[in-house]
Amino acid sequence: MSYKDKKFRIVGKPMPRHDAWEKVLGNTSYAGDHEIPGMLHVKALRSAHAAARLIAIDTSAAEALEGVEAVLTAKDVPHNETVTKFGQTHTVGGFEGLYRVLADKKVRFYGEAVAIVAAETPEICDEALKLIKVEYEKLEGVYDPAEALKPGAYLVGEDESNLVCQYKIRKGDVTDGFSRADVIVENTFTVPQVDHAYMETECGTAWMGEDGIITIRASTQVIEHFRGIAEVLGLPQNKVRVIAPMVGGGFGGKEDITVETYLALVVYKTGRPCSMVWTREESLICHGKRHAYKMHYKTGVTKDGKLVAQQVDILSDAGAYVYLSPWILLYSTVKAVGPYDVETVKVDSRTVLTNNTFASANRGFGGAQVCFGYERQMDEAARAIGMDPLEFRRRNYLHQGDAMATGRILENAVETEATGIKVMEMLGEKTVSDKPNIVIGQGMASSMMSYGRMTFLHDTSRSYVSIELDGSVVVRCGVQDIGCGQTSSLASIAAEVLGVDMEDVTVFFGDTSLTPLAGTTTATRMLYMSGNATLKAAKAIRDNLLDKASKHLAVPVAELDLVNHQLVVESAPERNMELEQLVKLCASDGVELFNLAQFNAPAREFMDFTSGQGQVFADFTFGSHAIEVAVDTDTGRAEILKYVACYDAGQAVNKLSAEGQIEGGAVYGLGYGAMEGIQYDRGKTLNPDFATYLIPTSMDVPEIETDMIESGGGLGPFGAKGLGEPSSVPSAPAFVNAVCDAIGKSINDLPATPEAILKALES
Amino acid sequence: MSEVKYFNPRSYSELTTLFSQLPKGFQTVAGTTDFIPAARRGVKYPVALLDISKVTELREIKEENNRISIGAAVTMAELVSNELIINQCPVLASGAKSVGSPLTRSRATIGGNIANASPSADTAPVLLTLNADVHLLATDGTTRQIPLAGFFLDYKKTARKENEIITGFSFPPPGPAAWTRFAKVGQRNGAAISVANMSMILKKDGDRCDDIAVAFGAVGPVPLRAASVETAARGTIFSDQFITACATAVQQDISPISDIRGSADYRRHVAANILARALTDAFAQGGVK
Ligand SMILES: Cc1cc2nc3c(=O)[nH]c(=O)nc-3n(C[C@H](O)[C@H](O)[C@H](O)COP(=O)(O)OP(=O)(O)OC[C@H]3O[C@@H](n4cnc5c(N)ncnc54)[C@H](O)[C@@H]3O)c2cc1C
Repeated sequence: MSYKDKKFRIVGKPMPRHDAWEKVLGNTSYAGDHEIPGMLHVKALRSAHAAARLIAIDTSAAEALEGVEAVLTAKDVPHNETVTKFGQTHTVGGFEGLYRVLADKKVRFYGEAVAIVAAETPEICDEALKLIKVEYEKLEGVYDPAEALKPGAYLVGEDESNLVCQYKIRKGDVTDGFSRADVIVENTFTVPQVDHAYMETECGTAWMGEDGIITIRASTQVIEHFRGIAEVLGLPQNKVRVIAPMVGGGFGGKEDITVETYLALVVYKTGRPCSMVWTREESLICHGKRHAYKMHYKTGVTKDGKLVAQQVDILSDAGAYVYLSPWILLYSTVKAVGPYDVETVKVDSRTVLTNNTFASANRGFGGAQVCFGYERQMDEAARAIGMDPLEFRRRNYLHQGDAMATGRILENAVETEATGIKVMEMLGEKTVSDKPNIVIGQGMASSMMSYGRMTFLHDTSRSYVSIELDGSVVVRCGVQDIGCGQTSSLASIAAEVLGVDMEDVTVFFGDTSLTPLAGTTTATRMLYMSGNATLKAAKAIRDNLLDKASKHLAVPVAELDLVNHQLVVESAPERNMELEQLVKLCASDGVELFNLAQFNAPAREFMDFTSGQGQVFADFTFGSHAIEVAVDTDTGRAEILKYVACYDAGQAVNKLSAEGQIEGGAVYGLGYGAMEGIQYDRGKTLNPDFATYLIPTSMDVPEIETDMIESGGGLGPFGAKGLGEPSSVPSAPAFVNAVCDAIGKSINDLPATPEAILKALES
Repeated sequence: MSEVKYFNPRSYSELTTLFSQLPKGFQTVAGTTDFIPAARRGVKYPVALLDISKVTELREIKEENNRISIGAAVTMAELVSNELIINQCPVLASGAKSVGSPLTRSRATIGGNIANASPSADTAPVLLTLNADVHLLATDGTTRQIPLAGFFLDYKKTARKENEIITGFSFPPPGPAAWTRFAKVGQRNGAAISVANMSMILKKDGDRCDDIAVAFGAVGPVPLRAASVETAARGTIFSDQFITACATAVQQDISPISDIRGSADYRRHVAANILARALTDAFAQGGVK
């Protein structure tokens, strides 16, 4: 039987995750749970200013304190500055950024690490930090990207301009497009910086292996930072090893290096094992955030609801260092008009350095900001022409075979319209308020979000699968499991293909010295990339097993299958064979029972910079969210009455996990819509803890009803698409659209807090 | 790091015999839900901690001589589930229920809530409207009892002397004829600090407001009784003008500031709105509650 026609036993079913019990019982050992006898504790001295010149650092008193092993500043780092093509595996121009381990000469943001201390106890570290004398000369700094662009503006870095990069997309002539519009709708939207707010802050341990290899066990989404760490230390890449145990949440916040270089540096300098765990305050203040954007949308529509022109201007606050800003801006630019077919398009985007905490990857990678822009704008335009928001969207949704504004033809499944219709159906009739101070509204939002990295990066992943003599299965794959079931899905795939149960598969993951490199757990790429690599490897073993069985039993391969630990002979069940028996047969005959497979994503050259035309992404996931809210007109509080979401998952590998992703995505996006936002006073974070930086609690999260379309039209294993990032993107605009529907007023700034809602109500 | 002495008495007599050993500058703590976050923000540890959370007598809720008394170490969780409180004083249960999360409520004490004197303390407006007294015990053994209305002096400043411990609170039950409400405006549903809160105890005679006590929190440096509102309302017949008059009067009673949780303007708006809503509801509901 060909594998393609097979009915799945495991894939697509709601299966408990293979790692669930250990996590629930508290047995899983996360990076911060690791202790090494005699380990040092490492803490950072963080800048008290957002913009300052470093005149002098005196570490002598700290060094003299008993129990202090090392106090390190920029001058102690072999290569304190490296130019990194962040996360990149294929060189193109314009994407480099400076990675600076410890502040040198000039401080760029409040909380930037100026020195690190390694001491016998965390308390001694704290004492030592107080003994370090730093002489700063306070500089004026610049905190607003528009200000930072002005001639003569304060320069954040060492370059002549604060502009990091800019893009444009041109499709047709928007002037012509607007001239054909019956109505033109223009709005400015602002979205703040937000944090990832993972349960586990940045942390890890490191030690010198007996083999002389600097080994770092850290909470990271990218074990391949071993290359960057080696560069900082001036060591060959094969002298640094990174291990990622189960990660307590990533959301993009652990895509950049966090604790790794500090730990490696301490091991390099002292030879002693060490540990670093960031406090929540450090995590909120110092680590990269989702970019704050100011977006101007000008939309031309005809009376019968056709989008004839869309002009978008995006200004992104990169914060103090470049990091992934150019990449993120490119994502935003390509997706700026959303899953809609617009006759003429003009997009201009810029990202600019300021003295705010740097911004970098965050679930959605530039997709969430623009989705708030285009989906708010769709509702405003629908209202302007008096059309139902779903009907208006239906007249403009992109379909399979259509071209995006970048000219890219969507050759794979595009089920946006089906998800839009579905969510409004699930939401049902609007509830009628029975209280004078409660008004009820409904809103929806659709989105397109890529899965897989940009095609010019020529992305690859590798996975090793083997079957042991007792029929149990091993997968070795360098994935980082950040809690979404990255390893569990690989177990499902191997189990499905090799006819065993999920419990029979052990997945060894996240170790640069032991598992084949699988790339980053970012960009919603793990199931797509490593799932395909694992599928390829498992199929190769399956082919070997069936080939051997076919010869042994003299039955054509087409009549053989592997099911429930058995070789099944469909035409003659009495000749079925235990899998273990077949494996032993293969082993004694020298048939290969392992396979190391590489999956290569489709590769393209870079898009045309002058017009923004070309292919940037391999494929997209499409979906919609819809929300019903009850707004209290006394207080502006918006209670969610109903939350529904529908995605084309392509093929859900594990139904439960896929639903979990959609639910989690909804909650993550809801925080963005309703309450989150880093607040600054001239670069200083004003809400550096969870008492003031608010995220939704269990009391704020409604029951989330999910539905899935499984078109089978994705590029992942079995036709799967990716859900991790896509599932959170439309949440905020759906929420705000519902609130606007309820109060009959517009809200164009996030977060839509009770105060903002009351203000809009009374405007 | 310097050592911090820790005392953890189990009974009232253990507590009082400890007094002679307490160094000057000791600090009383109970659930530590305010103390620990403050220490984390860098507030200096005292030389000694007197933990009263296990003192049996301070954990009691009882009714005597038509007064309800509540020990300082009674937790929010206990207030929420206590029969006496639920039956006789549901407004206090509802104030306590709004505090933090289940985790917080199982540690946070009423004594700590009042001693800490945050303007947003959720049990403060309730106790103010109940005309509660604060019971204090000094380390020299003397006790005194003062009205809560005179306890909050200024932002985080109280009438409690450094050597005094709050032992509890007492008040007459509002009685079955009283209509009561606790209202809280936070930025989210769970674990939210009040941007404004309000407690109201109202006695009506048909359409007339017979007697009223209203207190607000988080709209001034201290939790406060809304004297102008009470004056405007007392003895008045319910009407739209009555509502407007009270909503206007409240602006004289409060003096909110803008902070990370909300602007002064928002606080003024919602204070008026929750007041108006409570009054409307009080008179819309036919019977008493
Ligand atoms: C996550 C979280 C959420 C919260 N949410 C809310 C909320 O919604 N509403 C709210 O009102 N509060 C809230 N709080 C604050 C806090 O929980 C309350 O103020 C609580 O009642 C304090 O009681 P405690 O026993 O924990 O006080 P402690 O922290 O032990 O003490 C607080 C202060 O009072 C003093 N003190 C305590 N007991 C006495 C006493 N008997 N005599 C003299 N002095 C004393 C201490 O010295 C200290 O200064 C929250 C706190 C946290 C951590």
